Amino acid sequence: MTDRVLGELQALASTSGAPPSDLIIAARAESSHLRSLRRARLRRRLALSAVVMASLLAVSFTPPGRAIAERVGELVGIGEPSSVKEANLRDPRLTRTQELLGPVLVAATGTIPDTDQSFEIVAWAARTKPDVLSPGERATLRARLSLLKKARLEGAPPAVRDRLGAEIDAMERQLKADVRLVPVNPANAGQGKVQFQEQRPTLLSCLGIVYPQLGRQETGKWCAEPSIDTDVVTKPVHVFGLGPMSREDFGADAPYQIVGVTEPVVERVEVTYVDERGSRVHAPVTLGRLDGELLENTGADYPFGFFAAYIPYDGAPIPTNALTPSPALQSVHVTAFDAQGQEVGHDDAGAGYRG
Amino acid sequence: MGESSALDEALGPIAMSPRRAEIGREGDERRTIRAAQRGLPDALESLIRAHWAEARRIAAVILADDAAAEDVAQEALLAAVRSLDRFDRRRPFRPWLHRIVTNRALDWARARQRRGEVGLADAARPPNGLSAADSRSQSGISPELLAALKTLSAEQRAIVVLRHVAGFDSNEIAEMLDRPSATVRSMLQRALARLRGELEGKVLKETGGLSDDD
Repeated sequence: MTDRVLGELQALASTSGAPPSDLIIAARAESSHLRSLRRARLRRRLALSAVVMASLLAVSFTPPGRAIAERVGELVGIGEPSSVKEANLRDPRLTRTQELLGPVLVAATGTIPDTDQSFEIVAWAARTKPDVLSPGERATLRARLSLLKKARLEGAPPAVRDRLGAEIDAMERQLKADVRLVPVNPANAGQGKVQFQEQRPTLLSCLGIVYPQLGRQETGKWCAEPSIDTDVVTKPVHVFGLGPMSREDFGADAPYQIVGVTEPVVERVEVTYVDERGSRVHAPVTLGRLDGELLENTGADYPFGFFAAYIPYDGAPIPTNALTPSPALQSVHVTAFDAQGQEVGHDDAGAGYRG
Repeated sequence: MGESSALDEALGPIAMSPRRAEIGREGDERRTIRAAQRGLPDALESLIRAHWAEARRIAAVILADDAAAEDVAQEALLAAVRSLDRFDRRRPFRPWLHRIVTNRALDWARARQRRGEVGLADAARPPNGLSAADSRSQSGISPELLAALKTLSAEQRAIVVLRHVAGFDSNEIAEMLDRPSATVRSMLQRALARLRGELEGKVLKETGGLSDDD
């Protein structure tokens, strides 16, 4: 039977029409109301966070209070200010060319397996500092730029070094952060005018890992600058840090650390490696995502994820000027999954250690 | 890591990397909602334009009254804009918005019933001397369908329009109306049977649950 009812109802779904102009005007007029609500909410959250932190501080002066504070501290969770002082991220030794634009908020927390060492994956927005380059630095950058350009045009291998010994690939990343070439003629893309970072607007969306017990930023951060396509995440999952952690900070048996970034679609990351018995095993993974409220409250504008995993030290020697010959590191494989549990990408991260 | 940049462009065609993929329409709407929550007028306008037609259709079927539907859809969309800061962006936007539209329309229908207004009959009458066949409402509802819809309760009309015009499933509708899914499904079946009977001139004689605007 042809269903006339469903036919008529479904025909309705294709009807269209423009909203009345007075509705548009009224809706646009609500914008200031929404802006004031947002400001008020942000103020309330910051005030609440300050009260919580102040209470923890006060309570922690007594021995029983200290235990309570440690327990409550675990509950200070996602979206709250990081327990590592913002000043550490302002430290020019860490981010000489950047400055914070807002709060540093927690995206995820975890503990290094088999230790009491906790970590926080934190999110923040930053911008490049104006006028940080001296004339000498600018000259160096220009020289490196022309060397890099020459190497590219001649198809030089990545091992090419400048006269000070810096690798081309390493300098390329720094150049991307420090200079921008503005093509003067679209038909001649190889020619460009150098524009230094202080001359352009920037907004860096950052995720990084900090260790509260050390009280400072440790290894691993990623700042994306989508307006000029710098460090945007172009693969579902990408490992950018893999290797032994500092013996000085974490002791002789410091584990290996794996850190990487993910596209917004990634909800879960799996890290596997081959252990000393030859079995492929899973390492616990902590994933923090810069999106939703966190994106809004940090003032960042580029959503992505950051994950950290740790695998036990397998006793391999750690040379200062060569890769660690660790079977565990060489076997690291990372897989990313979306909300439906479908694999969306992988990174054979250990390949870089296999030489 | 930032594989395609102005630097790559300036350096020319060698080793050019792919640009990052577009996030897609769903991502676009999320960005629009985020911008609207921040109070950007253009984003607010964009949301209104994107959802107006559907909001109006839903209200028109629930109320079976075009003029009232226009007012209710406007009120509902403005109410949604005013409470946009409370919308959780991890959840889908359409069900949240149309829940507001549906509840506004149901409230309006109940208030009209309490006031003893006729509404449905007025809406079913062809305006300006047009024959019934010529006269479709602004929402595209034919007079026959309108007449059949008026034999249902407002809540049944809501379930019908949410399922077969807006395309929500029974679980989503149940959540929007605060009703169990099984109840929604049985109400939908009875409403469709009634509509089929009305449109084919065979009014089903059912007992209970089918009075107007109960």
